[in-house]
Amino acid sequence: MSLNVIVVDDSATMRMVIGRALRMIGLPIGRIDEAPDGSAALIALRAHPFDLAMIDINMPKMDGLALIDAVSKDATLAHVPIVVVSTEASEARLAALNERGIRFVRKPFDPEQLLDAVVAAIGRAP
Amino acid sequence: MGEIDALRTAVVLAMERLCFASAEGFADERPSGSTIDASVAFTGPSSGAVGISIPNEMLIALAADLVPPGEPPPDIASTDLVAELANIICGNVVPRIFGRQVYALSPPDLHAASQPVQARAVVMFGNGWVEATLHGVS
Amino acid sequence: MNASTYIARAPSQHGLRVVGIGQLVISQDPSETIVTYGLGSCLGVTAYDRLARVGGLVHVQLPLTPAQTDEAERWPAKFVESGVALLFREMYAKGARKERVELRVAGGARTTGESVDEVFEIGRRNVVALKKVLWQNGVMIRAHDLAGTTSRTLSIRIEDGMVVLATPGTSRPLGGDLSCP
Repeated sequence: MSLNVIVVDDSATMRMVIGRALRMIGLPIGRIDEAPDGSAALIALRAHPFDLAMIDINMPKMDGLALIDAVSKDATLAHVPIVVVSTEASEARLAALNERGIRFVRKPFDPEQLLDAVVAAIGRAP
Repeated sequence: MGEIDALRTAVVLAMERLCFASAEGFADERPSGSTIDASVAFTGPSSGAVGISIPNEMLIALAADLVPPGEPPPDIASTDLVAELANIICGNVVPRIFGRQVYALSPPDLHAASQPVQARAVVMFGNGWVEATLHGVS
Repeated sequence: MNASTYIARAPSQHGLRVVGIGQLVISQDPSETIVTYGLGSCLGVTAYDRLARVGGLVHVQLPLTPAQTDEAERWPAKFVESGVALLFREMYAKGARKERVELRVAGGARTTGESVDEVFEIGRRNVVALKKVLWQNGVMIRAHDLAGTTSRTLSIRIEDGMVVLATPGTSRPLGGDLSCP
């Protein structure tokens, strides 16, 4: 069964790079939707079913942490696995993400690092 | 890590991993020529900004390298690429200088930072150069 | 080095096919193992298609620069970009498919002294060049052992695609997920 993914990042470059990396990693990726901020992502998440969300943290309008909070409080969305793709480096924030079962990929990344995080998030290998 | 080393390391890392560009040397001063600039402010236990400047011709070449040779270049504005590089470089400079504490990074601003330059690194590549600057740390 | 022998055609001895610098070997003989020694700053790239049961190994030395395109036409396996392209072309010629090819890579070590800045090292530049050509062509690395300062030996067994990495005093499978029983 193919996986539908939403990529949330204010950078068009990064949305392209993440989308391309997702298509390389050997998993059956279906549609890849993009959103430039947390607000647009929330609208998209409520409109279509997604199997995975790749989320940046530093974004205008609604940042990644606020989006993750909103998703976790929405019973219809809380099941969506999340991978954070960010420059975030603080040990406290990374520990908080880890406690919530959210995987993390540090920018800049190799596609192999993205694969490891996605496999861990969705519980399925290529 | 010292400020100049942190700037150099962050530039090299961002350029290798995102753009697959290998550094060829360090310079003390930026070469002449017009550039596209971006800066990212950081706030936390210390505050300041990291700015970068890259020649537009280099940005165009870097974007083209993200797809196979012969394929049309991706639909990415040079300003978007420099903004994301500024984001990545700032995000990698700050922990190297100040440690892995909680910092907030602003979305990239497509202008040079206004605070005084505190440290500067110029990294040379085969198809251009990248200047990274640290500003106004308090 | 005779550039025309970039596809090493030496007959195998006890099933062992040796790849030198700037050389490549492809095999479908399940009795063979392909090996390359002394990977310092060079990269050893192995490829294996489990279904077509074809494997290959190329030992590349340098990233390709515009000034060297003529040399790369005569000696493609010397350079990262042309060597990897050659590896895939030769694999495809034997029935391999890109989506089935598993890549395992070793090398890219630092070989000069402390006075040379690490970021300018050839080994590191080889790794960046490899990642670029793989990214541009949508191919992942299945397993790797890169950088550091140690010299490496890399081998691939055609029978089952098992890749073994050896360094002074140690030997282990590289990426033991699918290749190893």
